[in-house]
Formats: sequence, structure tokens, C-alpha cells
Amino acid sequence: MKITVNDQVLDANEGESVLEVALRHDIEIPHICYHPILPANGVCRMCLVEIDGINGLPASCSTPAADGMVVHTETETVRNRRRENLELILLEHPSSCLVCYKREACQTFRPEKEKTGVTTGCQNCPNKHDCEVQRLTLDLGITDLPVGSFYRNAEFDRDDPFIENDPNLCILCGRCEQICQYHHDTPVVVLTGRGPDARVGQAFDLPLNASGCTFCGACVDLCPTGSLSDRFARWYGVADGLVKTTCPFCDAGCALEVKSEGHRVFSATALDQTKPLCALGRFTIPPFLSSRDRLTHPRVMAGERLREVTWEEAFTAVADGLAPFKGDTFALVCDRSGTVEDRHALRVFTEEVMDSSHYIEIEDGEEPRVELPTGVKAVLLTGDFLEADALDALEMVVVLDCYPSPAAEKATAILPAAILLETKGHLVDENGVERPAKRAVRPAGQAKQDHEIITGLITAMGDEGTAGKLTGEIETRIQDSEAELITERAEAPAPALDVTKIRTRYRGHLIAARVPDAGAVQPVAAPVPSEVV
Amino acid sequence: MFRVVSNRKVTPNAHEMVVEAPEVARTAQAGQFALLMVDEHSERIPYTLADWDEATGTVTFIVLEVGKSTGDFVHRQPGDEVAHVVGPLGMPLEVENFGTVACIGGCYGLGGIVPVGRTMKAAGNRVITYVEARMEGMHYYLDKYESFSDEVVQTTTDGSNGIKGHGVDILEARLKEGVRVDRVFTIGCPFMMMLTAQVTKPHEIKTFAALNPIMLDGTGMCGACRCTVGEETKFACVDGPFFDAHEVDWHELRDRRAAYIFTERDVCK
Repeated sequence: MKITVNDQVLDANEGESVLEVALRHDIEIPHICYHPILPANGVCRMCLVEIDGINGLPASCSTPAADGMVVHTETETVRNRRRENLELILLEHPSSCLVCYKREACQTFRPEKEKTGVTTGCQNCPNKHDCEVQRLTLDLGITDLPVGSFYRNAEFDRDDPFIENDPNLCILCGRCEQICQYHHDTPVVVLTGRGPDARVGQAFDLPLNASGCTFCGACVDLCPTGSLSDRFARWYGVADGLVKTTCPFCDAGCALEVKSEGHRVFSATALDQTKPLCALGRFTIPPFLSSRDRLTHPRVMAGERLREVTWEEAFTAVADGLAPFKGDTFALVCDRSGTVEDRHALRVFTEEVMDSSHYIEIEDGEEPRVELPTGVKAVLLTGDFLEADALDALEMVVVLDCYPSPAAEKATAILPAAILLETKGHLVDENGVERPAKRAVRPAGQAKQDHEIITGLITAMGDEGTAGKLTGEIETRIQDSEAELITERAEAPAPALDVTKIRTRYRGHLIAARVPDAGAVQPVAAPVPSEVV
Repeated sequence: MFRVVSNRKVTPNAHEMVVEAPEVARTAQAGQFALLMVDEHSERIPYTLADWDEATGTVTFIVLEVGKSTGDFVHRQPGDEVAHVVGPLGMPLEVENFGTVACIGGCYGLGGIVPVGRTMKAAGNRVITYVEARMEGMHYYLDKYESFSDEVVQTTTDGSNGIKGHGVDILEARLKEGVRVDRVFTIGCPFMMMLTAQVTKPHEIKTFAALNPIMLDGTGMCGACRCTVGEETKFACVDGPFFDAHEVDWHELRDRRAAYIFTERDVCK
């Protein structure tokens, strides 16, 4: 099938729209509501074209290509109408910055976006650096509006976990509703109200967690304006770091695109947009990494207090302290949160260096509380895994962890661990296949990855041979890795479809204790009508 | 504790907060500000005094919600309390009959400019008030301006209310026509105040801008609010907040205001 677009003859496939044919051949037709993975919606009226033999100006996104069609995308009529349609969109969008003739000077003086409570223009919009409406306005050279814009003064919804919804910025393109339906069959995020009251929200104005939202964040990803935004990422600027890696929270192995600015991760989105992420993968990683309680410096007990020391001092203190406990009086407790390499190092340390048979690895899904084998007097814990009475019975506790826990309070030494996107190596997915874990950001404070800490410890114990061998093995393994990301997922991971299935603990710590929103995603009952005033 | 008397949303992002602080209201003068802490352990934030009333013992602030501390403040309802109000701080404006005075306000400066204009009018000046906003619905206090101004010029960036453009553009056009202005006062964002300075400099009109750096103690001890004016380091809290706008290092002011941006973002969650 052939169609002609602006005098170019192009091949078209059965079922393709005129817009899709043009885009596939690098002919740009401006569009907002169209998205490649969604069915055509035809509401923004930006992709209007002229087609010989067809009356009016059809939307190219919803017009199927037909053999012999002759399409014009840049005639004067098309351009004028497109411009008028965008002007109509801008009239109900805070567009003062777009038509400000001091714009250039302003952008030179303050190129960064400015954080604010309520957005009233591009300068203080979370989407300032990546906005489709702004880009189109600049492309079409609109510098003035026929009449002043209208601010809807609708209520800015800031009470939901992770997601903020400012209807005053919304242009009602409907992509959020469409992607929600695409991922979850029945959309949670829908267009409500009519006429001037039309807005994006939930049925009966219920909060997201009472509406069945799984917090996959796809609506935020697809919003062309700053209307739906990620509360944590909102005021970060342009990413200076972009890494593609495997989600470290569970074994579904979803590939993430991770953005960071100034060594801080601020956003993680799905590499494969055709399937949703779960609330943990999409929203929880940046706040969990940057919570203020992180253990960031090595500390050892000096008298009655933990004192901050250098890594060398910490290694020596721990090595000396553990020396009398070689054999089965030592146990190491960890879970499967770490990379394959980290867990290998922990096992080698327990079995070969400490000569103990008590390497205890808690399986995913198990209650992260263990009972120690009898006779154990010293433990190395990589998380919050022991009850208080078990801790009391111990002579020495070494904590290699990311957050404070009851164990950390009784520890002889605290070794701060790098976690999640601060680590590199391999993660095993649910099918047993190794997937790459890339480091997206440097560890918090002086934290180090588990295997680095373990080799440091082994060295301090005088066993440089084992330490060197272990480091060599791990480095070669990471360097020669041929593990691949899952760029196309066969199906959506279970926690992305059912929010009650998301993991609640990481290294034994309740995730919600560090990131309250991660707890607030759990479904709540909708108020019964009698309670609705 | 200081009781919040009223909280009125004047624009989508700005609130007029009236707080009981009789000691501040009793001695406040035009050009001064007060420091406010919402809770015992909140950040200390300076707010321009937009008005005060000795009789009721109240002071008025225009508060833009920009982050954690301002957010906590604008969510206080009448009857709620705030932990501390310290003031009045800063140097009062020098008040004389200069002749014609132009007062240019934008953003929170739409409130901040009120005491300035009123005092200048009382000293016998002819007062022209230029108030700029992004769009319709973001102007407020028109009745107040009219009470002291010989002329009020309203502008919006998109032309939805008043004249399309910025207050300073109208001033520039008039200066070019030869209209005489003897002194200019400007309160708003650094960018707007910088533009005002650029417009009045060639006409050699003394221009004063209320600088708004990050401030801590407000009494000249910590130096957090230092800024460069005429190649000298000044403290906005005790030497200002009004400074000769032609001498201010605006880029330094901008950069110093963003010094804690990462922390500011992190506490907003």
C-alpha cells in the first residue's frame, strides 16, 4: 500500500494511521494526545492534515491510511488551524511564560525551574524542561494569544501517595486515562466532570488508594504537562546521569531507566512502557536511597558509645573482635536483597574465613526473623533480622546495613552498606537468569557495597590470599558479564497489578517506615455513602 | 506563641497571612520585615511587612508557598499559632518628599509595596504604583493601592488583565517620553528587580530594591544574608533590606538563594 505525504510516496501497512506512516518515515506532524502504544484518541486536534478527496481537516492519528491517499501536512489552512487549536489549548493552561516577551532574558538569568507550591507558569512548573505543550508552542512560534488565558482555580490534589495532580495544568488529552485502561483494563484515573469542570481524577473523587490504583506511575510518565507529577522527582532539574539497570526490589527483573542529578537518583521509570511497574520500582527507590536515617559512616564501640572511625579502623576492630569466634560460634544472617556477588562474598566469608556452617540466607517471602542455631555467640547481620532477646544473648554483633535497627543499637561495629542502585553486579530473576545491576549513583556517605566490605574484613584478618582471589573473581565476573536487561516483558509483574503483593521489607526493614508513601499505597476502603457529606 | 488571625488565598500560590504580633505592629516602619518560625524547630524565614495595625496588634505578610516552611505557614488556619515572630527588623526607608515616586511590585511585592507607597504619599510625594502579575486573578490589594496612589498601572504577562507586559516596561516607555520620576522602589523576584535597575540606570534615577536572600538570625550575626552592593559586602538583615539597585550584584544574589536547593527539595516530600 502506498500513500503520498507532502509529495513523498511512502509505504503504508494495513491498519496504520496516516500519522504513524508519516512518523515512521521521519515526517513530523505535531501531535499531543497520540502515543505509540495507545489507540488513537483524536482529541487534541494537533495532527490535522489535508487529504485530497476528504472534506475538512481529519486528524491524522485516527485516519487509517488507504492506498493512493494524497496527504498534505503543511498547507496554510492546516498550519493556521493547528495554530488556532494550540492557542485554544493554551487559553486554559497557565501559559503566561510562553507568551512573555522577557522570556529569553528570564531563561538566561534563571535557567533552572523554581520550586513552588502551586504552579502558575513554565518557570515554576515541574515539567519545565520536558513539556510537549511548551515545545509545540515554541515550534509553532506562538508568542501571543488572542485573549488572555483562563486559570481554572481547581483544587490541587496533593494528598495521594507519590502522585500529585494539579488539574489547572491539564490539557485534557486523555493519555493518562488511556494508559491506565491499557495497563489495568478498568481505568482508575479518568476524565470526570463536564465542560469547564472536566478534569482528570477518580470516580466519586475518591483518593487513589481507595480507587484501586496500583501506583504504577504510567499516567505520570505519559502526562505531556506538569499536571500529573511524581512528588519526589518534581523539583529536580535536567538529569545529568542516565542508567539502564534491573530493578533491585524483587525478582521480576523489570528493566528501569534511572535518572540522577548531582549524584542523587530522582526517578526510575520502566524501560518497557508496554507493561506497568509496581509502586516500589516506580516511586520508592529514590526516597529509600536518600532518607536521612541512612547509615553512612563506619562506627565501632569505644567504651559505651559508637564512635565514627575510618574504614581501616573499622576493619581492624571487627577482624580482632571476630577472631575468637571462628567456627560454629559465628553465624552470618543475610537475605536475598544483595547482588549475586555480594551474597557469594558473604558465603565465602562465613564458610571459608570464619569456618562456620551457619550461613543463613532468608528466602524472599519468608518472615525476615530468624532463630539462631544454639551455640552461636557472634553474628554478622546485613539487616534487621533478629528479635531483641536473641540479640541480648550474643557476645558480639556486627551490623553491615543501611538503616538503624535494634541490632545496630547493640552492635560492636556498624559497617554502612551501599544498597539498591548504589551497587553493581548481577541480580537473579524469577526464572533463575542473571540480570545486570548497574551502579546509577555513588553510595551514600562512605557506604560500600557488601562484597567490598567483606574483602576489606578478610584482608584485615590477615588472609590476603582469599581477599585478593575474591576481589579478582568478582571483578572479572562483572567485567565479562553478558547478562542482558529484560527490555520486553512477557507479562506485567504481579505487584504491578495487585498492590497488596508488593514487598514490604528490604534487608528486614519495613520500607514504609522510611518511605511513608510506600505504606499508604495499600488499598483502603472507600467511605460508605452515609459518611460522604 | 503568635496567633494567626486570618489566612486568605490571594493568588493560586500566595496567601495573605495576618498574625497577632503587637510588639512588631507597634514599632514597624515602611521598608522593614519580620522573621517568622512556624514551629519551635522550623526554619527562620524573613517576610516583608505588607501591613500592620497598631490598634489590633496585627501584622500582615504575603506568603508565597515555595517549600516546606512556607507550606507549613500557609496551611495554618485562623486560630492556629506560630512559634515566633521577630521584628521589626532591617533599616526603615529614608522618607522625604522626593517629588514623583514609582513603586513597582510583583509577586509577593504586590503586598510589600503597600507600606512603601503609603509612607511616600504621606511625605507628600506623587506616587505611581506599577503592579505586575502573570495573569488575571493574580492581582490583589487594588483598593489599597488606590488609597495612596495618584495612578495605578496594572500589567499582566499575557494581557488577561490591564496592560500586556511588565510594570517596568511601562515605566521605561514613559521615561523615554520624558516623564519625570525622582525615585523608584521595587519589590519582587530578583529578575524583576534587576530589570528595574537596568531600566532606571541610564536615566540616573535613584532606585531601591528590597533584596531577598536566605536569612537566618536577622540581626547581623550569622552573615547568611550577605550580598554584594557596590563591591562591598552588606548584610540584607541589618544594612537592608533596601539597597541601591544599581549597585547590587544580582547574579550573586540569585546563586546564593539556591545554595541549599537539594536540601530544600528533599524536605518537600
